[in-house]
Amino acid sequence: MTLLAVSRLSAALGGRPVLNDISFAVGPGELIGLIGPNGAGKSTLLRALMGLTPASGTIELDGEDGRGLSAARRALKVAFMAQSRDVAWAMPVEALVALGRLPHLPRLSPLRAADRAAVDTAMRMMDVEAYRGRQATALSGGELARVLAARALAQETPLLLADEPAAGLDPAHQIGLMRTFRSLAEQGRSVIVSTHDLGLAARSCTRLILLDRGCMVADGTPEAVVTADNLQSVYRVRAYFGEVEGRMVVLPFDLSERN
Amino acid sequence: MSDGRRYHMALILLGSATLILFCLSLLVGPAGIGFSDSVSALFSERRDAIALIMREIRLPRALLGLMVGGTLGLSGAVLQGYLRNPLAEPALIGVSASASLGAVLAIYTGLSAVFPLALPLAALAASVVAVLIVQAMAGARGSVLTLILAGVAVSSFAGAMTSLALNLSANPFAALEIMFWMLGSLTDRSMTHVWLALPFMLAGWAALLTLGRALDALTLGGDTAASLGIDMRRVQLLAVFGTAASVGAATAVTGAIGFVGLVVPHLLRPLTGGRPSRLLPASALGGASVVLAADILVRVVAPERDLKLGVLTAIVGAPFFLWLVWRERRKVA
Repeated sequence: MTLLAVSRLSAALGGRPVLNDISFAVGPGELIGLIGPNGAGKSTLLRALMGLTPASGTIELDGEDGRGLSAARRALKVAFMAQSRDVAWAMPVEALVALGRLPHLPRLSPLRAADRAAVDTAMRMMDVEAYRGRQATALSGGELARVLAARALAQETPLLLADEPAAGLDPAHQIGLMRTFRSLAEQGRSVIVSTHDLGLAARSCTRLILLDRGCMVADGTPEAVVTADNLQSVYRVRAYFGEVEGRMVVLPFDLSERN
Repeated sequence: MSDGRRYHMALILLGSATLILFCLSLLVGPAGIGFSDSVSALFSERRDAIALIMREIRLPRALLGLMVGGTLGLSGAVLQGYLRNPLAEPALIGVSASASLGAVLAIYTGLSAVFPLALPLAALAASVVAVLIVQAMAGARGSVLTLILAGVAVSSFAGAMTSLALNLSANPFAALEIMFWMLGSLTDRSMTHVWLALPFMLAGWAALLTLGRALDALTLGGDTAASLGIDMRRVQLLAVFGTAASVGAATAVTGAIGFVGLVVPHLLRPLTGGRPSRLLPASALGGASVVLAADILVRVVAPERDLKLGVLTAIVGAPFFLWLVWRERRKVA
C-alpha cells in the first residue's frame, strides 16, 4: 500500500528548472527526511506535492490522482507546514491550532467534542498547552513554530509534509518535534520533513531523500544516504561520523578540500 | 470561552445600536414630526403630508443608510481579511472610483437629467466593467499583489476620466452637480433607489458572508489556507465580485462614502478574538451604525446647509484613523 506515489515530477520557476524527473513512493509508517543544500528544490518539491507550484509528472495521493483532487479532499489526506510562519493578526493560540480542524468540520458547524480532543492532543504533543490563551503574534519564533506544528498535527491526516519545521527551535524542542513525528510514523502515519540538520535527520528519520540541483541523488536509509562521499559531492563539507546508543551521529565540521 | 461571550455581547450591542439609530434616523428631519405621528404615519394607509414625508423621504434614507453602511463594513472586513492587510478597504479594487465615473458620465452627458435612474445604472455598469478588468488582470491564479496593482490602475484611470469630465464640463452647473454628487450623500433618495440597489447588495452580501472560514484560514497565509482545503480561486472570485456588486450598488445610489470600510473593521477586530469570520457580521452592523449616525449628524449639525455625508465621514474618519495608527504604533514600540 502506498500513501503517496510520485512519478517523473519536474517543475520550473521563472523558466529555470528546479525539479528534474523525481520519482519515489511513500508507504505508511515512514518518517522521511528531505535533505539537500540551499536551492536543491526541497521546498519546491513539497509545494508541488501540495499543488501549490505547477509541475509536470504524476502525483498519486492515497490511490487518487493528486491533481484532480479538490482542495477540500486533499486537506483530509495531507497536511502542510509552510516554511513561512507569518500570522496576519493576533489570534489566540488555541484558535490557531483549531484551524487544523477546518477540513473536518461540516459547513457552519462549531468545533465538536472530537475536534476539541484533537486540538488538545496536538497541543500536548507540541508542548504548547501553556500558551493556550496567549496571542500567537506575541510568541517567540520557536514557540510560534511549535504552535504551527500543533496546527498541522490537529489536522490528523495520514500524510504530513513539513517544510523546515525544526528551524529556530531549541535543541530540546527539535528532538521533541522529531520524536513526535517518529511516534506518528509508528502509528502508521507518514511524515516528509525537509531540514538542514543532517545529524537530526540521520538520527530520527527512517529514510532520507537527498536532492541536489533539482535531482534526486540518493534515497534510502540514513546510513546509505549520509555518506562521506555524498556530503563531499553535494554539500562540499567534511563530517565527523560516530555512533551513540546504536544511532548514527553526523557532525559537519569543515569545508571539503575537493572541488 | 470569555472570548466568545465578549463577542456575543459586542454583536448584541452593535445590533441594538443599529436598530436604535435606524429608528432615530426615521425621526430626525427638518419637518419636525412628532414621534407618535411619524410612527403611525409609517404604518397607516393615510395619504397626508406626514405620511408622504415618512414613506417617500425618511424611510428610503434610513434604509439606504442601513444598507450602504452594512455593505461598507462587511466588504471592508472581507477585503482586509482576504488581502491580510488592515489597511485594505473596498475602494482598493477600483469599484468605488469606477462607479463614480459612471455616475459622473451620466451627469456630464445630461442623461441623468432626462432619465433619473440613468445615474445609478451608469454607475453600476461602470463598476461591472471595472471589476471585470481587475479580475481579468489578476487572472485565475491571480496573486494578491496583482489584484491590488490592477485595482490601483483602474482607480487612477477612473479618477483621471472623472477629472476630464469636470475639466471639459461645458456648463458650471453640471460641474457643480458632479462635485456635489461625488461628495456622497443620502439626501433625496427614493424607494426606487432602494429597490435598485437591494438585489445587487443581497447578491454581494451572500457571496461575502460565505467567506468566513476561508478568511480564518488565511490568517496563516494563502499556502496554508489552501492546504486546509480552501479553494483560493473561488475565494478571490467571491471576494471581488461580492465587493463589486454590493459596493458598486452602494456607490451608485449614494456616491463615495469614505473611511467607513477602512476604520470600522479595524476598530472592531479586537472584539472578535482574532477570528476574521466573526468580524464579518460585527463589521456589517458597525458600518450600518456609523453611516446611520453620521447621516443623523449631518441633519442635526447643519440642517440648512445640506452637509454631505461623505464629507463628514472623512472629516471624522481620518483623524480617528490617525489615532488608531498612533495607538498601534505605541503598542509595537
